[in-house]
Amino acid sequence: MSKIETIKTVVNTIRENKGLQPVEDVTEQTHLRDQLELDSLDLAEFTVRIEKETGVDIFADGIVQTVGEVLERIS
Amino acid sequence: MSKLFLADASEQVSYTYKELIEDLNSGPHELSCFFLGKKTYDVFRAYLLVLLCEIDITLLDADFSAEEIDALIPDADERARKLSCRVEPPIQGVADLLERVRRVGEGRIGFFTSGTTGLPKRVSHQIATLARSVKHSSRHAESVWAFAYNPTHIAGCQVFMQAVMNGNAIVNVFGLDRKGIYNALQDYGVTNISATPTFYRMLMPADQSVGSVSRVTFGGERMDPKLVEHLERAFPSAKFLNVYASTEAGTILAAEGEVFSIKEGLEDLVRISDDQLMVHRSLLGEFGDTTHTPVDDWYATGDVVSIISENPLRFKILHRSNELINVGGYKVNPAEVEAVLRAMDGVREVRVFGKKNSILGNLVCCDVVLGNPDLTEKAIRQHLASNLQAFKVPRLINFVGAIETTRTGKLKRS
Repeated sequence: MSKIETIKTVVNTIRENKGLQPVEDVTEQTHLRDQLELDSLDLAEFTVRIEKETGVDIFADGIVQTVGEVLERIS
Repeated sequence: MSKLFLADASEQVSYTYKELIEDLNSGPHELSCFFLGKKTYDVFRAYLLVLLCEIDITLLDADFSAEEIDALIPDADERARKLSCRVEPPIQGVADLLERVRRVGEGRIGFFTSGTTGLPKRVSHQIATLARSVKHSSRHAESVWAFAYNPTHIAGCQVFMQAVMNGNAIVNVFGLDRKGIYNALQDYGVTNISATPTFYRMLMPADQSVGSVSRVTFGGERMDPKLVEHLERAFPSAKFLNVYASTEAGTILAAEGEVFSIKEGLEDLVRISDDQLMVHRSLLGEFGDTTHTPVDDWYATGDVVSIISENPLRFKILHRSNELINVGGYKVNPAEVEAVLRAMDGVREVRVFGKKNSILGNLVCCDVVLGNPDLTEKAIRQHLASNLQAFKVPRLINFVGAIETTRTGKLKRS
């Protein structure tokens, strides 16, 4: 699975647990809070799940806001 | 035009002091003794009625479920109890309101705090104790406060009293997103912010700066010096202050940076024993049930400290000695969450624990041993969501074959 697909799968797991519809289009420009509707609890869960998949704590050096920034941290 | 009392961006309403006074004068006010304030304004009005009419009420979080409330107050008659009060004589304008709220009076206010034995416990305070740390003078008259705490928690109560006793405008930013917060700070010319480190982390990266902010206060969690560096960019004119407060004791310490010292006049009422911060019972509220009453004159806060100097006493707070999980400043009692999980048919054993997290400090997670293999994660999540406040719900659920225990047979939480 490509890295962006991994991110999309994780996002959709979190959205589904909140009772939201899964998202189809995720690009590097997609904003985690504004477009994917992740609040701070969701973002905390997101970091843990991404770390489980990639071994990287993406928020360790400050806040990331877009999918592109997540990709930079895990590449 | 009358001065602004409360601007609530998320509820899209605002109230002036004139409207507030008209409302307070319009009694009699009927209130539940266990007050569930759905709107911030309603909670603020309840605080004012405690100050003005010397009533005794206990606040419930707006997001408590009916099941949680039933468990907290098992007696249905007690739950349904109401009181009625009237502001007498009517308030004659803002100056009169300020003079009367500053008199404080004999009212009492109760809060629920995360308990160590399963359920949150009720702690009742004289409003005068909570008002002790309020400073009022003409120097504070033009402050504008960003309100960033849950209004039904003690930190929210203290920020509210500091603001209202100086006749300040309050801008509610609790629950807003990053953009909404920056907009509110700019639009209202906010001068003071008091919030948890998690709230400030939400404002990162500091790509905007708000020059009007002159004071930034931290509470509820350990402050990260790196975060302060970033915040200096967002609030270039601000001074940074760290406070130590707990639901049991109210505000007792303050620090510039990470090193705490004891407030003047309280030196004999705070001490450190076995590296743990202890406060004297005279600083505490009354506990709702006797099982939580301090055994002698000193209450162990559960905060483990490292001493920097003995005289005067200065120290850093290292961590909590007990098992509460701090999720962005909110304390989660794993035993409470475990009890909710165990109440589900098909759940055999559970373990709830905190996992370190760079956003919230900790994230609640759990291991579950199923007795019924057909029970789904979705069903467990629904059960949790309908029985617990959102921050208490485990975000990661691991299905395991067995739960590890310590040598004494207790659940291993780390």
